[in-house]
Amino acid sequence: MKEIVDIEWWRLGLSALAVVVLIALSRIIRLNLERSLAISALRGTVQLLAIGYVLTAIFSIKHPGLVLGTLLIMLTVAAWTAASRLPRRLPGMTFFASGALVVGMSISLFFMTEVVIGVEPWWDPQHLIPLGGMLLGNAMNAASLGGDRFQEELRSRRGEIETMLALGFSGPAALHPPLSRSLRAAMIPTINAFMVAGLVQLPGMMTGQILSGVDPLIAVKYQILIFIMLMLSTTTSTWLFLLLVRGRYITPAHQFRTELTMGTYSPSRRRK
Amino acid sequence: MTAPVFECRDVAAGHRTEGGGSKTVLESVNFVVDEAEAVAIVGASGSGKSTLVRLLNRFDDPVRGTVSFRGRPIQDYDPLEIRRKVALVLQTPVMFDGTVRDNLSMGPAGVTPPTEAAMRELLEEVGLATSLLDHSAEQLSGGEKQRIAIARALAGEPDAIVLDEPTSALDPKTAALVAKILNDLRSSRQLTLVFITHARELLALVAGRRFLVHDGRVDVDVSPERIEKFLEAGE
Repeated sequence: MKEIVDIEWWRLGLSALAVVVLIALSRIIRLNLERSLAISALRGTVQLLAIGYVLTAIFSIKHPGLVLGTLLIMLTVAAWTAASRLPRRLPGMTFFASGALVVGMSISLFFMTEVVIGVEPWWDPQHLIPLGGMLLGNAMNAASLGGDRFQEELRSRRGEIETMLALGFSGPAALHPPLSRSLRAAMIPTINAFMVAGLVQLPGMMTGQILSGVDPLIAVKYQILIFIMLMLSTTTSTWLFLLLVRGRYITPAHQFRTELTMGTYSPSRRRK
Repeated sequence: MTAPVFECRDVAAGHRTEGGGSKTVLESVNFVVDEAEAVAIVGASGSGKSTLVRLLNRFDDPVRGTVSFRGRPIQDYDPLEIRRKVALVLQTPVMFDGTVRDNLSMGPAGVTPPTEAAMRELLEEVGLATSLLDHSAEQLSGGEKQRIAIARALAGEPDAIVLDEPTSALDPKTAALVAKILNDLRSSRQLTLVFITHARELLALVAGRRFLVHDGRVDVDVSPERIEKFLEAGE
């Protein structure tokens, strides 16, 4: 294995020149993106540096409680983000997202660290935190994509849903077609990423490993494992999340709660 | 004496609100509908006509009072059973992917779909050619779709059929045809019919009784003259 090549701080600083160039360009061609460019570059840098120091601390303290605590914070942020991206925010959605994400992440994490890699100790922060973060981030995106689509389907396909209910279908059965379409839509990005893996671009984690000197074949093995585990956790989390959301839209008497689909949905008013 | 098909006693009805409560639209609704009767429900838009008919197949529950089906409170039945006994046909017919046959045989798990012969009979009952069975349901005309929707509702052998403005999206000629079909069904199947409408052809041909929904009330057995006056005022 090659020596890991560190980047000197002043050399990293050179990349800031690119931001300056972009800001200048934005002003010249009136993109009106100067502020966003500056803020995102600054904010991203600060966040990443902070997490770098936090991770260094967590890796050196090596305490299971600290590792689980960190995962819990990550989970909370992911769940809140997924729920707040829904076009129609309803009470309990963050809770639903937390439950769905924790199940999806736990299954994949356990399988990866315990069954395949064999991490010692089981809570090793160097494995659990980056892997957990990757699983959560992807599941979060899939859950909010799926949730967005699901709520939109419930709004626009009221006629189909009520026709099925009128024909004697149960609430869950009548809401199944929108649910399955939403789950499929949410899974497309994850499936596409695996489909073209290595053909269009090298996945981020693999790129990082190769750049820091890891043998490409080892990096590939990790990447394959990650792709499979991502599919498992995103499907599990999104499916669970949609099932929980579906429960809010039907009553025990198999009535469709149309009051939750009306009125406030409008793309321009989203994310308020 | 047999129990009426529908009975509403001191019913207040409205719609559910987001927080789980409800907003009342109709108060003190009292009526009885007997076997094979036809009831037309007339009223301005937003007056609560749909709210009223949605109680009859338990799409909604009343805020207060009792809705009974054949002498038993509707809540005592399995909701899925009620939906098969009281078929609801919506204003805009929804056709599912596939052929007319797929649409007619569509039903929940555990319910036997109609046989091929039964499907042909259903089509004949609604005045459509049996050759339509293999046609794509999506490509039918509005009137054909509405008739398929009625045939599909009949496939479950309901006791009553509730229709929300069944002819409002149809041209007058097709609307008259649908009115005739409904009237024939009532006598041939002893079917109880409750329908919301503003269409004079339906009122003239089918309606045995007329209810007028206005100002949060349901006036039962309103005279044809009063209905006509109401319709003229709305034009």
